[in-house]
Amino acid sequence: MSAKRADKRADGPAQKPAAQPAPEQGPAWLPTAAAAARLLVGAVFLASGLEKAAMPPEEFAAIIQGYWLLPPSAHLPLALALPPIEVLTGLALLAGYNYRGFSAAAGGLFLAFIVALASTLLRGIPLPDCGCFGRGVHLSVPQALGLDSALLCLSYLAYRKGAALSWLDRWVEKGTP
Amino acid sequence: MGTRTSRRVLAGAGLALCSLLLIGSVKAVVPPYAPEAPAYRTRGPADAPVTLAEFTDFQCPGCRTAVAEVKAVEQMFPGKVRLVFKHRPFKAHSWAREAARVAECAGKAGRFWPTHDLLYARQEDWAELRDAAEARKLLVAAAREAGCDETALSVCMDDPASAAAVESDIAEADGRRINATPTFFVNGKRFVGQLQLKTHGVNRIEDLLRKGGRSR
Repeated sequence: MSAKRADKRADGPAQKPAAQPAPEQGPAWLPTAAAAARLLVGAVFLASGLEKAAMPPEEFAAIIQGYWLLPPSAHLPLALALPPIEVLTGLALLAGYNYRGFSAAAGGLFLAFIVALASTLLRGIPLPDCGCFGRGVHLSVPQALGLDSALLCLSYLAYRKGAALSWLDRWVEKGTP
Repeated sequence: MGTRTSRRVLAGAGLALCSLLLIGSVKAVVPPYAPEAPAYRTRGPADAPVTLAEFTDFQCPGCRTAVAEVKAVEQMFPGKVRLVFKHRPFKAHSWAREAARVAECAGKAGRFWPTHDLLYARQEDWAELRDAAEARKLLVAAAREAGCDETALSVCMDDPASAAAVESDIAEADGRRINATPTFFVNGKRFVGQLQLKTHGVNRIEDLLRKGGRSR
């Protein structure tokens, strides 16, 4: 090790300029679009969660059973758990609470839905209604796949740049919305 | 720092509470209940410890496949199960109401169950028909084959009381948020579809019989 390098190390970080994150690049409208994407994903989750919550859990469990992915003992617990998860995710995205964490959670849910839907196509399982919105809106498997893929992209956009209009996160950080 | 953490926790708890309140406001509170039906639409001892009620649609393929499962349940617990049939025809099924009226009239003639079995057995023949007259002809033919008098059947089918009996069941189903068929109630507890009956429903019947009492 040369003396010059050793001196540099001895000087420590106080001598070095503090590492700054590279400024985010992209068009000026991108943050607004990402916030809109976050709000849209949130609204979709809120609507679908409430629709599912409004139906008897046994009916939603029967829809889950139609995918033939999980053992029968898991259908009812999932039917009970999914609506509150969707409603909470929807509200968090709409209010802008921990927007990165909930955008990632939304993306994870959409990915899981896409895998489940695609598996029915691959296995040739007829699914007249995906059950995505409970009994509210009836979507075929290809329609649901298209919608979930689009929403997955919007979730990614919200995760990357969706900080705008996150009034709950702002309140958490600064104490004012 | 502490304030920020507490604000984060407070906001999270608030969102969770809002979620629960929203779900509570839309969730139907449907208490367990025991549907009843005219005697000709029931099967099994009146004092059986288990009442298995089914809401079905004659044009629904899932209901057709569930017929064998219901019979299997009755055979599994001989003399212990009373079956109660309820109509739940959906508007999307063009001939489901007509089929329900045929079964209703066959019931008044004492031939409900044979007609019920034939309507399901021949569901694929009439369910996809486009012509109402042709569909009615096949439905009536099933009832006739089950032992009904065709003239009496026609008179009964045009009687508003027959349609009213079906509509009364539909109103009851709507009130109980029954949006899928077949929906079963085992001593008041709901099970949707053949698989739920076969697994959880049978388990519940076994539990009820082990306890030896009713729990409506």
